[in-house]
Amino acid sequence: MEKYKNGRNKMVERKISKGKYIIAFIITIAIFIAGLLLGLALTKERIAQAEESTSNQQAAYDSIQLQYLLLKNLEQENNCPAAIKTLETNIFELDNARIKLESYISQSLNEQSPDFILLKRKYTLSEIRYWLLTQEAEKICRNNFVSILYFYSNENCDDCISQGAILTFIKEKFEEKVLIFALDTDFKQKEPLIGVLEQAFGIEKTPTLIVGGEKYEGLTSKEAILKKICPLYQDKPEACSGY
Amino acid sequence: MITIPMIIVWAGYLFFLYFIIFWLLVFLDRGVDDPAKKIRKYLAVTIAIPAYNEEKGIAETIQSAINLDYPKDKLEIIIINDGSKDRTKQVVKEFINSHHDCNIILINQSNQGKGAALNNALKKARGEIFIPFDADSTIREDALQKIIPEFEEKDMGAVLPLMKVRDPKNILEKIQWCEYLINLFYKKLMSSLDCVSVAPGPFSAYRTSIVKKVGGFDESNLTEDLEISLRLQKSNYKLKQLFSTEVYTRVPRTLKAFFRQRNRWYKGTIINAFKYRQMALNRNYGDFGFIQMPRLLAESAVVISLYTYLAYAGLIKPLMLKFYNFSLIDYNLAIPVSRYINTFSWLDINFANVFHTIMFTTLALLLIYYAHKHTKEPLRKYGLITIPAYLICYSILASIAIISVFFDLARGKIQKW
Repeated sequence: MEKYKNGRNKMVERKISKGKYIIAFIITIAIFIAGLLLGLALTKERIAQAEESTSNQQAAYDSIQLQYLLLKNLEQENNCPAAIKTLETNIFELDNARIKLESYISQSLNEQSPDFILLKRKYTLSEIRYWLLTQEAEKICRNNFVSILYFYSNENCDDCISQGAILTFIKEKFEEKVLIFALDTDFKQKEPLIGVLEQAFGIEKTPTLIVGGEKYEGLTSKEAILKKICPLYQDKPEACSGY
Repeated sequence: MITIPMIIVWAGYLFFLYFIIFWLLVFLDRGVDDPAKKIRKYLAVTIAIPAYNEEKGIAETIQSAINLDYPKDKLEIIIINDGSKDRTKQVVKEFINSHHDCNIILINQSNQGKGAALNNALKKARGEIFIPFDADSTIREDALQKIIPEFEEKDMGAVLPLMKVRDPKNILEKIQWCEYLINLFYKKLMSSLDCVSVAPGPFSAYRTSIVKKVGGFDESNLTEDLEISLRLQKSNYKLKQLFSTEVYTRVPRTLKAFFRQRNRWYKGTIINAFKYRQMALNRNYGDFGFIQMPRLLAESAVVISLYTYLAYAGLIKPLMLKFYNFSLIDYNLAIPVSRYINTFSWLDINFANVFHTIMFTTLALLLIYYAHKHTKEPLRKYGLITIPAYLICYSILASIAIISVFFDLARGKIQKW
């Protein structure tokens, strides 16, 4: 038995429950690791899901590209509304998948994981590809819709979150009459095409919108967007009443 | 990505998880059952009741003390009137006059606070056992029958009864009812490793000679009950939590009173833990030094960093941004909601948050269940709402109180009591 420094007579016999400290530590770490492993399994599942949706989107893109080629060659402008509807659906799904992927990446421990980067690259390229196709489609099916190019950043850009909310609103109101293409400016190191587009449009800050060839820097209100896009339609959609 | 706030949150979670698991292990190993001891020797007992403006409750408290199942000649009751401005003095005098068979003494002092009142009583006390008793509490009749046998152990410094909330009516009192049961369960486990850090104000029994030896109560301390308990631990005396008898005490009824009390408690805890910091991680103090002192020292810092971060980054900032975003689209909530629902898949759930929530809720429910079981209280004694209210509100209330303590300490504001 140990003598105590304070020199009083023997009181509580002090013990150290070493075994319990160690077991508690092991259990704590085990729970922590179990959490990490479950997290990793979930990430894997998410990547698999995202990969599946990119392959589907690839097929959908091929199909719609051919559709426009047919429209162009057969000069069947009366089929435009249906083609645009398909285009719009595809772009909408692509954009939803992109938003999901970004939220997965932000929740993941390893944002720089090669799987995520490759997936994001595929999405980015798809957005650009669809945007180019849309430029083509505008020539065939004149003025039935408006396209918006949206440059954003996920880092320290609260305005981008707000701009996203506004664009979601616009999209829901106009449905297939508005096509939105979102490009992450932080991703230009990984995908040089973004840098090319940034230079082409002179993008200096986020959020920036390109609507009808004009540039809108900073947070653009829904009123300002409506004011810009509504005159571009030949037949004004309902959502344009008052503009 | 791993960020500093993330590390803070994880460290906080691991800190709490470790302590909960440690004490659950102690529970699995030792249980919380008290072998009933029979009283063999009736030690002389002094019950000290400090009273400041207690004209309403004081008679009932004294009555509860004389109703104790204990020989009258071994029982001494000292009421210390701490400069009351109301009729406390007269009420006590009348009580004494109508109970000549009982040994009741009234001491009047100018208003000096609870610590001084207890020391004054300690000077006059003739009992071998000294029991401070709050004027707003009542005690079960068998209390001394259960408490006194524990003092047969020579180094027993203090014995604590179960302290439950008296007659909880509103939701705040019910939350505290649940909190007290959980704390008692913890304290019982702590007691089995000689780790009790506080003998609460109402009806904790001390050995008079030991209290005198360690120097009596600290008169200028915010939480004199915690301070003397730490001092007893420092001198290696024993503190034991009993489960076999109960004291009922009133708790704050309004948020304002609650925050006032907690501000004092938590501030007192930080100050006293710092005062006795040399016991932390000191082998000479065994488990008390290794598990209890580090908790006392670090808990409020962990709570504060965890909750300020979670409240700001997890709640306030996103809510403000959401609200702002809704304002930009004329509060048309249907649009973002329908988009979310239409694109939802189970993979979108924020797994880390769900994992933490499930893990801590499970552990909390486990603790709540055992705490009720071993303090012999039904889970639904005060309605279905009590436990959910505790789970949701308690940590928020406590962390607000701790944050206010840090603000006070940062500007050097320390109240007297």
